[in-house]
Amino acid sequence: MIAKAPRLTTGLAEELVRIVGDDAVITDPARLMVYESDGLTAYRYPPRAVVLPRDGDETARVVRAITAERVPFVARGSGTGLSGGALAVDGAVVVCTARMNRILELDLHNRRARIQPGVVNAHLTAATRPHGLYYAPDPSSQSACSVGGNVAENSGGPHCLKYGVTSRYIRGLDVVLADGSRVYLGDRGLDTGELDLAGLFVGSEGCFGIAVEIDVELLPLPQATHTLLGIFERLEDAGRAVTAIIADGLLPAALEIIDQATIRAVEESIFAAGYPTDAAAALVVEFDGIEAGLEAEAARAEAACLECGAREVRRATSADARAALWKGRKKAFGAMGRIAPDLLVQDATVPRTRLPDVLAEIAQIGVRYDLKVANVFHAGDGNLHPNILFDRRDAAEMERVERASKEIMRICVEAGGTITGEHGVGLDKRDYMSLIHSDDTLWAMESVRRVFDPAGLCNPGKVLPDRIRNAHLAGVGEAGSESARATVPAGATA
Amino acid sequence: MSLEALEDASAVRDDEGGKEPAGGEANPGDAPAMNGGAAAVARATEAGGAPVVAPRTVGELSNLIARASRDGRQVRFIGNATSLPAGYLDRPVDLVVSTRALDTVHAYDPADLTLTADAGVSLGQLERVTADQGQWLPLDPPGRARRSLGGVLASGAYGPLQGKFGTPRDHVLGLTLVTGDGRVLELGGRVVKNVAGYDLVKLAVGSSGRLGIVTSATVLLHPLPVRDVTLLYQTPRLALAVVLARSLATAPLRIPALELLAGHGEEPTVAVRLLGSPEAAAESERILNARVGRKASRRLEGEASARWFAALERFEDDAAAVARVSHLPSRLGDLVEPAVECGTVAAHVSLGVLRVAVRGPGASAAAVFDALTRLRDNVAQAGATFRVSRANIPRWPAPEPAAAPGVLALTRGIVDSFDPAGVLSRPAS
Ligand SMILES: Cc1cc2nc3c(=O)[nH]c(=O)nc-3n(C[C@H](O)[C@H](O)[C@H](O)COP(=O)(O)OP(=O)(O)OC[C@H]3O[C@@H](n4cnc5c(N)ncnc54)[C@H](O)[C@@H]3O)c2cc1C
Ligand SMILES: Cc1cc2nc3c(=O)[nH]c(=O)nc-3n(C[C@H](O)[C@H](O)[C@H](O)COP(=O)(O)OP(=O)(O)OC[C@H]3O[C@@H](n4cnc5c(N)ncnc54)[C@H](O)[C@@H]3O)c2cc1C
Repeated sequence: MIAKAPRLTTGLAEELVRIVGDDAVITDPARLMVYESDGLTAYRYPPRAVVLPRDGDETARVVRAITAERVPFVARGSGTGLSGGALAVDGAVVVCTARMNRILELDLHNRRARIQPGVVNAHLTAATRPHGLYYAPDPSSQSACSVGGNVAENSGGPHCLKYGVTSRYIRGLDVVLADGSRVYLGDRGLDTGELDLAGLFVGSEGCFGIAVEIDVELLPLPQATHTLLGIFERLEDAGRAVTAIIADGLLPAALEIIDQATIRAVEESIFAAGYPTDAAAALVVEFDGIEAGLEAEAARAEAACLECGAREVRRATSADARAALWKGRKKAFGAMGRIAPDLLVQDATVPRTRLPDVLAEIAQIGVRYDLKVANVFHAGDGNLHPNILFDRRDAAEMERVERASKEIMRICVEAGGTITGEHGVGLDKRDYMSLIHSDDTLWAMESVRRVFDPAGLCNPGKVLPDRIRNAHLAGVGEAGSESARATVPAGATA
Repeated sequence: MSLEALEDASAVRDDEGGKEPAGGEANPGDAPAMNGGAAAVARATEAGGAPVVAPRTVGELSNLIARASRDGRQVRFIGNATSLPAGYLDRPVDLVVSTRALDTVHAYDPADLTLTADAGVSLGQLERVTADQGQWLPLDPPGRARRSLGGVLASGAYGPLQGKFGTPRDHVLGLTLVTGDGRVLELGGRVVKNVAGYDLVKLAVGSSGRLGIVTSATVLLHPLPVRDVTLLYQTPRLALAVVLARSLATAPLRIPALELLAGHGEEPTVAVRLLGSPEAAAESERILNARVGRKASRRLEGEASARWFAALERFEDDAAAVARVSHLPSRLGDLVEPAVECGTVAAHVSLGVLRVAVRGPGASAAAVFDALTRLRDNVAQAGATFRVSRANIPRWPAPEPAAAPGVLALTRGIVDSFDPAGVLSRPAS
C-alpha cells in the first residue's frame, strides 16, 4: 500500500533547517524513499520530511516546531522494526535518531552507561566488552537496530531466556514529549511510591514520545560459554526437548529452534552452516556463566535431547566452534530472503509446553493455504517466528498470506499465548489486539497514551485499532468504552 | 456511610479487622506491629468508622468500587495490612476493601514455570505450593511469608534477591486490576514474552493502590537452586566492610544477593548468597575469596543459608521507623557512616539502596522524628534520595525532593484516568 504525503509548509521547513541545519532535513522525494518502509516491507508510507537531530535539545525543538503546526511525527531508529512501527502514516514527519549515536558516559563502577538512542545495539556491547561488561538484550538484528528502537519495542533476543528482555536493563529515560517538553523517567518502580513510568515507556512503540538519552545497565561478561546443537528427525521432538531441558531444572542462556525449511534455505545459500538438510529441526542450546558448572549442565541437556529422539548432538566451547553451531540460526533471515521475493516474519508467543501442538497446527495452516512457512524461533520462551515466504506481486498469494497470518494468531491465542512476543503491534497487528484485550483494556491503553500525547500527534495510527482512537476523538464519556459505561452508572464521574 | 452497598456485595464483613489471614505464616510474636495488621485496621475503623469488607469475587469487588466511585466515597485497599504507607489510613476513609477472601491458587503449570493466584494468597502459601515441584518465586521482600501477593505487587516491595531476579515488575506476566471506577482490566498475559500493547502491568506494579486493586496475578517461577550458600564476611571497621562489599560487587560475577549489615549489634557484616549448581557455587566462592584476599568469617549451606536470609526478611519487623536511602552503588561509602548514626543498616549493595531501621525501647515518637531528620539531612549532603517507608509518628513531611513537575503531571493524568472520581488513595500531600 502506498500513500502520498502532504508537503511541509515553508515556515516549518525553514524552522527545521534553522534548528538542525540543512543537511539534516530531507524533503527530496527521491531521498525520502529510503524512509517509506521498515522491516515490514509490505507497507509503504512516504514521510512528509525526515529530520535528523543530533541531541536531545535539538529533538525537543524539532518536535515543538512540528507539533506547533499540528503535524504528526514518528521516531525512527534503524528501521529494522517488523511491525511497521516507524512508518509515517497520517503524513507524519520522521524524526530519525541515526545521528544521535554517541555513548555519552560509561560508568564502569556502577555498571551503567548513558547513551543516545541511535547507538546501535551491537556497538554498545563492543564498547563495553574491553571492560568486561556487555549489554544483555541481543535481538538477532543487533548489528543494525538502535537501542532507542529496542526500548520502544521492548525487544528480546536469543539470550533473553536467561537474562530477560530490554525492560530489565533500562534504568532511566530522558524523553521528549509531543509538546516538546522533556522529562526524565526513572527509578524503575523500586518501591519508591512513584509510578514506574520508565517501565511503561519501554514497549510503547514510539507513541509516548522520543527517548533522547537512555541509562542502561550492563552485566559482567560470562566467564565461559558452552553450546550444543541437537539434530532432530521430527520438529515436535525438538519442542519436547526444550520442555525436557527446562523440566530438568536447567536454565540455558538460549534455546533456539530452526526447522527443516529454514535449514534448507541456509544450506542452499552462501551461508551454508553444515546442518544436515534431511533433519526436521535443529536445536541450539547454550549455557553460560561460571566455567565450573557448565560441563555438567551441557551433559544434562545433551542427555535430554537424546532422550527426546535427537539423532546427533554436537558440542562446542571455543568461540569459533560455537559460531559454527550458531551460524544456521544467525543467517536464517538472510538466507530466506534469497528464496522468495518477500518474507513476512511472524511473531507470537505460546506457553512453552504448547510448542509441539502449535507447531503442528502451523504446518497444517501452511499446507492448507499453499504457503511456504519456515520456523526459526526463541523456543525457550515459547516465542514463535513462523515466517511466510511469498511474492508481493501475486495478489492472490498476498490474500492467502493475510488469512494464514490471522489463523496463526488465532491458534496461538487459543493456546494461551499472545499476538506478539517481541516485534510489537505497530501498524500490522492493530486489528488482532481485540483477540486478547477487552475494549476496556484497550481504552485504558489509549487513555494512558493521551496523558503523554493529548493531541495524538506522536506516532499516530499505531498499536490500537482505529475504532478505539476514533471513539476517543468522538469524545466518548470519561468512564470509558461502551462496556465500562454499562457497569458504571451515569454520574460515576463526579 | 450506608452499608447498603456492602450488603449488596454480599462480601465478607470484618468489623474487628486485622484477623489473622488464612494460611498466614506464624508471625514472630516479638514483632510489635507498629504500623501493621490489626493495629492499622483498628485505627482506621476507629478513626473514620470505616467498615472493612473482603469481597469473595472480582465481580463483587468491581460492583463495590463502581458504587463507591459513583457516590464519591473514599476507598482504601489492604492485603494483610502490615506495610501500609505512613498515614495511609489516617485520612478520612469510607470503606476499606481487603483481598483477604480472594485466596485461591487458580492455575499452576510447573512445566511452564507459571502460576496464577488471587491477590490475597500469601507468599508463604505460594512457597508451599511451588516447593513440592522444586520451584520458587525468588522474591523476598521484608516480611515475605505473610505478605499477600497483591500487596507485594502493589507496593513493588523486594529484597536481597533482586540482585539476580529483579523486583516484582520482573516476576509478573499479567494481572487483573479493578480500577477506581470498577472496570476489570486483564493486563499482560500468561506467557513470558508479550509486547501486545502498552505495558500497563508495569504501571500497576508499585502503584500502591492508586490505580486500582490487584485481584490476581500470573507470576514466573524459577527452579529451586541445587546449592544455596551464604558467605558472611565480618570486619571490625565499617570503612573496611564498605570496601569489601564494593569489591565483591564489582567482581566479574552476577551475585544473587549481596548485603551489608551494620549497627546491628555485631561487627559490620557483608553477606553474599550464591545459588546454582554445586560446581558454580564453589567456583564463585573461590573467585570472591581471591578477590578480597580472605576467606569468609562464616559459611552457611543449604537450609542454614536460606534461614540466614529468611531472618533478614524480618529486619524491619520490630522497627519503630524504616527509611530508604538510595544513590549510585559506588557511593555506598558516603552513606553508610551517617546512616549507622541513626539506626541499623541493611544495604542492597549492588543496587545502591540502604534500609535504615530505627529501633529500641528508647524510640519514642520524638526520638524517631529526630533520627529520621538527621538521616535525611546527612544523606541529602551526599546527594542521595531519602524516603520514609514507615514510622510510628503521625506525620512525616512529603518526600524530598518531590518528583519533577513533568513526572507529577504525567502521574496525575494517569491516576485520573484510572480513578476518575478520585476515590482511591492519593500521594500523601
Ligand atoms: C533480521 C531481523 C531480526 C530481528 N530479530 C529480532 C529479535 O531477535 N528480537 C526482537 O525483539 N526484534 C527483532 N527484530 C525486530 C527489530 O530489529 C527490533 O524491533 C528493533 O528493536 C527495532 O529497532 P530499530 O532501531 O530498527 O527501530 P525502528 O524500526 O526504526 O523503529 C521501531 C519503533 O521504535 C520507535 N522508536 C525508534 N527510536 C525511538 C526512540 N528513540 N524513542 C521512541 N521511539 C523510538 C519507532 O517509532 C518505531 O515505532 C528483528 C528484525 C530483523 C529485520
Ligand atoms: C511492623 C511490621 C512487622 C511485620 N512483621 C512481619 C512478620 O513478622 N512476618 C511477616 O511475614 N511479615 C511481617 N511484616 C510484613 C507484613 O506482613 C507485610 O508488610 C504485609 O503483609 C504486606 O502485604 P499486605 O498484603 O499486607 O499489604 P498491605 O500492607 O495491606 O498494603 C500495602 C500497600 O499495597 C496496597 N495494596 C494492598 N493490597 C493491594 C491490592 N491487592 N491491590 C492494590 N493495592 C493493594 C495498599 O493499599 C497499600 O498501599 C511486618 C510489617 C510490619 C510493618
